[in-house]
Amino acid sequence: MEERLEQALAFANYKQTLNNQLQKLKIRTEGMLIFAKNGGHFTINRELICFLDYLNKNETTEATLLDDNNTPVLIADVADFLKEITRRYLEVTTDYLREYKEISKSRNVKSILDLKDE
Amino acid sequence: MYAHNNSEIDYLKIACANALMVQKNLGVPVTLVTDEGTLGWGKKALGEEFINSCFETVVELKRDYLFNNPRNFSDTSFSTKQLQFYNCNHWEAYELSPYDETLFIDCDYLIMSSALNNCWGSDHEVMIDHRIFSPADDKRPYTKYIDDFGVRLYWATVIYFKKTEFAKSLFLMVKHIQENYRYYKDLYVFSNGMFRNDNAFSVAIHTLNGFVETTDSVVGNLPIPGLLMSWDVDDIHSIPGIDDIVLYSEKSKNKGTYLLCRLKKTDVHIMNKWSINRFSDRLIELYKKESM
Repeated sequence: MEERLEQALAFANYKQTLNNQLQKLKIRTEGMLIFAKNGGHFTINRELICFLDYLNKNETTEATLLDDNNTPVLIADVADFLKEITRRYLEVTTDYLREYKEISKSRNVKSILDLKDE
Repeated sequence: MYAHNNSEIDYLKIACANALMVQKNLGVPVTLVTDEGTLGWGKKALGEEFINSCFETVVELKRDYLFNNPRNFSDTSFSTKQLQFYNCNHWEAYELSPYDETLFIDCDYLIMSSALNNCWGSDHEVMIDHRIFSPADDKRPYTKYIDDFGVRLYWATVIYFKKTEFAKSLFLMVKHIQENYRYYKDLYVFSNGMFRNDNAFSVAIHTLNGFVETTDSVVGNLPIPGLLMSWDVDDIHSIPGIDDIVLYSEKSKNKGTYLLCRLKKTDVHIMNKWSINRFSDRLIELYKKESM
């Protein structure tokens, strides 16, 4: 095979692996952002945090929210729930950033996957 | 967890490995449903004490040796064999489960995270998922619906259920579909004659949804982004450590070429049974140490 073509294919493989690994990391992060509460489960995102913050600032202590399956769930202590999900969001996204940076700076397939020589 | 061996695949060994993974990541007891032949072989090969350390309860069923359900088992795109597939009676799980809340998992759905712990205490009586993704980005569209007419395909790989009347009726419906599988196969145009739990659950849910596709399904989605499916054309490259696996994932448009994909703390369904059999000793060794 011509050398230039070989290099191009190697680069394509590298890019595919990189994107794939980043996507798997994103999906894992999404999983870790799912929070179970009172029989429902909620995906923690900025919208949920902002809405709870709005309720909290309006001194709403108790609220019914629709969870990921559109099931109504009573949140008895809005402030406490807000605190819990914000903490989880920050922990998970901090880890996400660290791993994202590690993968992004890798320059070949082996280092993307952090494979050691056997 | 179900484990019924066939002439080449040691499901029991895979189940033992996965039970140790469940103990480590979910911290809940595991019940095994198996048959006398599989268990007898397992006791000889792995030791009775070890099997008892993996499972809280072992339910031994009488195997129907006349049951004929051939299935193609692939070990990557290069090798396919037709073997018996006996791990069928998922509907029995409702009756056999000794628990108020149960997570039924296929023994080849490796539990490498605590994500499914979000199920416990759910308002839903049954949770089962239709959302799937692959270790490589290539998605296979035929895995989304059971036929060309659009009945959504639910994957009976992981099922959460409570002991309630609704859950009971769903499992009875699945039993009915299994008993009349040829009729439902023609009605919903299943792609082949082999019995699949996925098809039976999909049709049962479709029926209980009033024969319509609805966003307000009678069953909930699992509290995960979807099921990660490593197909039978994929292979395991290595298992570097606890909750860490490297897969060869075949590129769907380029048979026999692979993307390497490393998964950490992510549950994954390994459909290439041969590959998981090759690595079950490694898994047992790793997770046994962890549980000691």
